[in-house]
Amino acid sequence: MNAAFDRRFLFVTGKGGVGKSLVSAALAARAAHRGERTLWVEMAESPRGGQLFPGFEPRYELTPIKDSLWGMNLRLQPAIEEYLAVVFKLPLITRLIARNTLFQVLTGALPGLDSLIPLGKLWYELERRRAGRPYWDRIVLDAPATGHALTMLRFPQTALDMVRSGNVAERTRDIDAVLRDRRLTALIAVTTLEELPVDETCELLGQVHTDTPYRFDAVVCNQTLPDIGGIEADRYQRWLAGATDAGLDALAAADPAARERLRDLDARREQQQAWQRRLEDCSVPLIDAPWCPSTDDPARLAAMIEALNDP
Amino acid sequence: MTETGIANTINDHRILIVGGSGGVGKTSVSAALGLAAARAGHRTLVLTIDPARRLAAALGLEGIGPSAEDVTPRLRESGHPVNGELHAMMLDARRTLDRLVERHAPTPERRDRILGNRLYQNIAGRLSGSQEYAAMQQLEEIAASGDYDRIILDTPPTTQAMDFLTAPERLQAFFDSNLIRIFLTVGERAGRGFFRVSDVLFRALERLTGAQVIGDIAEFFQLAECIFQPFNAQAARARRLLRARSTTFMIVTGADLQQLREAKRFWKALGPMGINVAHLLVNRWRPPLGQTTDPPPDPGDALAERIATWHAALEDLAQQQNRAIDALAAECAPGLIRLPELPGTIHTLDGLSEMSERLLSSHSDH
Repeated sequence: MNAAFDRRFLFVTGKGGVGKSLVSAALAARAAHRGERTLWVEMAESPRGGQLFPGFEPRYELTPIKDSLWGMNLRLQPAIEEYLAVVFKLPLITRLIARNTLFQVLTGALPGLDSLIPLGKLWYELERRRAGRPYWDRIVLDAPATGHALTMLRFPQTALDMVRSGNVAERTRDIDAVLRDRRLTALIAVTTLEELPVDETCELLGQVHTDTPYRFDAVVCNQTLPDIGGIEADRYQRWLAGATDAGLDALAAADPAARERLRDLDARREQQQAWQRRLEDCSVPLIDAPWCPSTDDPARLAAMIEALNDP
Repeated sequence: MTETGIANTINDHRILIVGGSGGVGKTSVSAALGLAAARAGHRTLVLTIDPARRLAAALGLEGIGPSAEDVTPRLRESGHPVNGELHAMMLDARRTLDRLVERHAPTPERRDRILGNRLYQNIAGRLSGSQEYAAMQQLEEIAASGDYDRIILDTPPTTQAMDFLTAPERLQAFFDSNLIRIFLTVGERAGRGFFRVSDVLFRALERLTGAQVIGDIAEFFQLAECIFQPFNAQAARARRLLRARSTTFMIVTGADLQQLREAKRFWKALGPMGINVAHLLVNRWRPPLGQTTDPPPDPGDALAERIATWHAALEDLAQQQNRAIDALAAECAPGLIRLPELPGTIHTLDGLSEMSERLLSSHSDH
């Protein structure tokens, strides 16, 4: 098991559609299965939590999912509302301010606010204590897709260049300390082994490692296709190419169309390996998560938990 | 919800917008549609955003800038001649917005100050929605120029397909004239107390961001007042263009349930907005092969067991996906088309050409 997965704060990002939510949910559920008090945080306009955990309705308020697993959907507006309530200590006024259209439009366009507020909320939850111990054993963030995630990770340095004192600077320094601390925080990228996601992942890693003091700890290669041939690769390849094989020809899969489908799967697996070699140049540990041929989200989640337990 | 093939759709519409979630193959489909339109004799432009490098290489687009490039000669040289013309252009959101400012700013001095304002740089480069906004503005500009018979717009890669339509309107709200008026007042009064509500608002904003930012905003609105009106007018024209009878959408989706759900949501949202959807294209479809029951493999043959297991899993998945697609088609999804997975990815002109032919010969369900 990759030790990075056992840190207290896991920041999980990746290109849209590669399975970032599934991986982050699996990391959270896996910790909760072990009895750790775990918070899984989405930041999505249409959150996935309800599909992955039937019965769970993601919203801003912390909501129990099951056992010791809790979930929330960290949206900007309610987070601003909460932040203002803390600053002004007058809930009614802050609600009026925060729900004002003008205010919403402005805060939506203000540089950095969409990074500061969510990161500030996460910092608050990480700091929370109960009876002298951290309130959460683990927080797993299903961070936004690569573009916005990069903005979030660049935010502390950019902000500290501009603002040196006051509330914002103070909070930014706290966030920076969290992201720097490699005993506390792990940055994890999720990708599939295809051209665009791999390109985007390499770019993200390069930019974060150049522009920030933070480091990625792992890249999860999702939907890695099965190596059906395995140690009998030669035999499998010969058979795929059309050779007869007494042990295999009786299978339904020996049908020409079925064999072509398997051939196609194997060709795609080889392509994946080429993309994986490209990722290896980034010098971040790679973790394979096998492709799960199922359309059922809870089943995929269970398979992912197993894959991450036993890579 | 007409029962037309793609050839008819290309024939009947001047603007085809290809939308859908990220990673479903929108750019390949857009390029293949462009090729089909050019073959049908139209002077065609494909407006694309950040295509995969190999696709760009296939089209001869590697390293091209944000001006239209004629790829017709390249098609001819490589054995894929077209009756019409195929042009391609890469969208650059930042450049598009800069150009709009350059065009509408009253003086060079004002222009430079807007382009140099920190808030502007933030909006133009990073604000979510700026790419979508630029895409719409650029589409409107190109359509108004009348340079092309057919325009195919490959929409920006957003995870949520709806972002493409909602983001520009959110950004538009930012340019709303009431906001400008308030900020102009703020600028004149140095950011302080003209009436109580906004006073509280600005205090809240200052707490959130520091006072410097408020100054930037006020300066930006004062500088940019002159460009809001033309910006808004163009955005309004773009919104009308989206709903014109000669404009239609093609929603591209993968066969995964999650992707199909997203495509359905997108399609259902477009109708009430008055936007036509000609097709829902299920890309990279892997057809089921039919019921096959495996005789139990020789228990000592590990390879045979693995093959049997994966064969069954592949078939099962294909059938589940196909059932979900059938259900979508039964809901009368507009001209639902299943485009089977092509061997390998589309990274050569031959591959693109084959995809284009398959698109033209595909039939809508029902």
